[in-house]
Amino acid sequence: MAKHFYSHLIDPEDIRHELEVLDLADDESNHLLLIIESTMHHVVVDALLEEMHGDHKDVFLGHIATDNHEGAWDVLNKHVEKPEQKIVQAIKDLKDELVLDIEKAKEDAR
Amino acid sequence: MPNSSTGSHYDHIKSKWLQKHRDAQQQLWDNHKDHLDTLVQKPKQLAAGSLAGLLMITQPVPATLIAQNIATQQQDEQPPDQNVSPEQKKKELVSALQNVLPDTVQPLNDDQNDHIASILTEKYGIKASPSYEGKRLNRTYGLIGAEQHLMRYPGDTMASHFTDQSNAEKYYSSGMAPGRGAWGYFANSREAMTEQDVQREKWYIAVPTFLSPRWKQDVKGHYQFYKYRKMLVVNPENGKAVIADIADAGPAEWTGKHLGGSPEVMKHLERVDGRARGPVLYFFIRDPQDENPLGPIDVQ
Repeated sequence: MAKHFYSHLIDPEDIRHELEVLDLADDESNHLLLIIESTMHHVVVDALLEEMHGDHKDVFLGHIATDNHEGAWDVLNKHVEKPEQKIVQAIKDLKDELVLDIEKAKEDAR
Repeated sequence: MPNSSTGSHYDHIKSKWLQKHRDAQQQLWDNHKDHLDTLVQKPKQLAAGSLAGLLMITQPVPATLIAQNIATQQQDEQPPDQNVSPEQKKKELVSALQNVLPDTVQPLNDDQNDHIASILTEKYGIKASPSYEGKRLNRTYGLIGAEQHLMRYPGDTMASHFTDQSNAEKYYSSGMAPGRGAWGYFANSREAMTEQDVQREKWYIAVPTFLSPRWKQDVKGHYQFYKYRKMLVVNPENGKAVIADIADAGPAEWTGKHLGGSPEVMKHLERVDGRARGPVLYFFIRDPQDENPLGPIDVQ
């Protein structure tokens, strides 16, 4: 996974572990993880932008685009209430959905 | 290696998660379009920044493509654009477009038009727009069909149309349309014809100006606006593109085609299959100083 400003709040092995039960080839597993990573990025950025006002969004997006994690957190800490919680919750909601999809796939195969 | 059973797991979940990815992307753009557009407008400033962060939120590309770009970045500290081949850039463009375009060739909604315009603007480095000065065509995504050459001046014939044998061999068979184009001859005589006139005929498209919204309210204004108006025409299936000018009106609705292209336009776009037609995107470009020459343009 690429390093994002919220990477420290994710356990990348978590979903990988969930995928293991499907006995996928490495390239298949890696591909699915990349889809998850990108989806997660959209979900997290959307959740945080929802908490911000006009100009702060532009500044925040600019920091993300230039990999300025410190700048991104500076905006978050000033303009979003409990940003870590928002990020963790957004990731958890997505992960719950993905785990259900995996379980459904396992059931369908039985 | 997976057996066939796990292969079906993978395909099933991949399909489902790609849809989730598209939904998440769409939601982000729906909610924060203005701010993302602002970011997209300055790609050059951000070129040395994070591909992982920038590409993911500003380009509607499939995860496979994101993966390729992340891998490239991780392997090489050089700015990625310097290492990407023209063919790879076209593939990226095609993927980005296919992620936005509907499955069938149909008029695009405002969101789709804006999204496509952003992609084209960024990829070709010229401002592309579905409307210009308050005027728009009836659609921006349609089937282009092959047109014939236009008479550039009174007395122009197929025999006089080409100055070199190579072009004559390639394009002679397309023939010449009877009569003049919708805006008359390009020049009053062969002697008066300029290089600009030659290029305008060579890279022309015909669009149904008469189907433009509000055409009837201001026929004269629209007629003048469309004359030689430049458009970016893109084959979304291969990323080939030309800057074309509007030099004729048509085709008629009953033909099933939505616009026409000169033999040179069709050849470059590779829309010359057996049916001699196929889908293209066509967006206005802002070129008030006439700085962008007509003809082929590559992804930057």
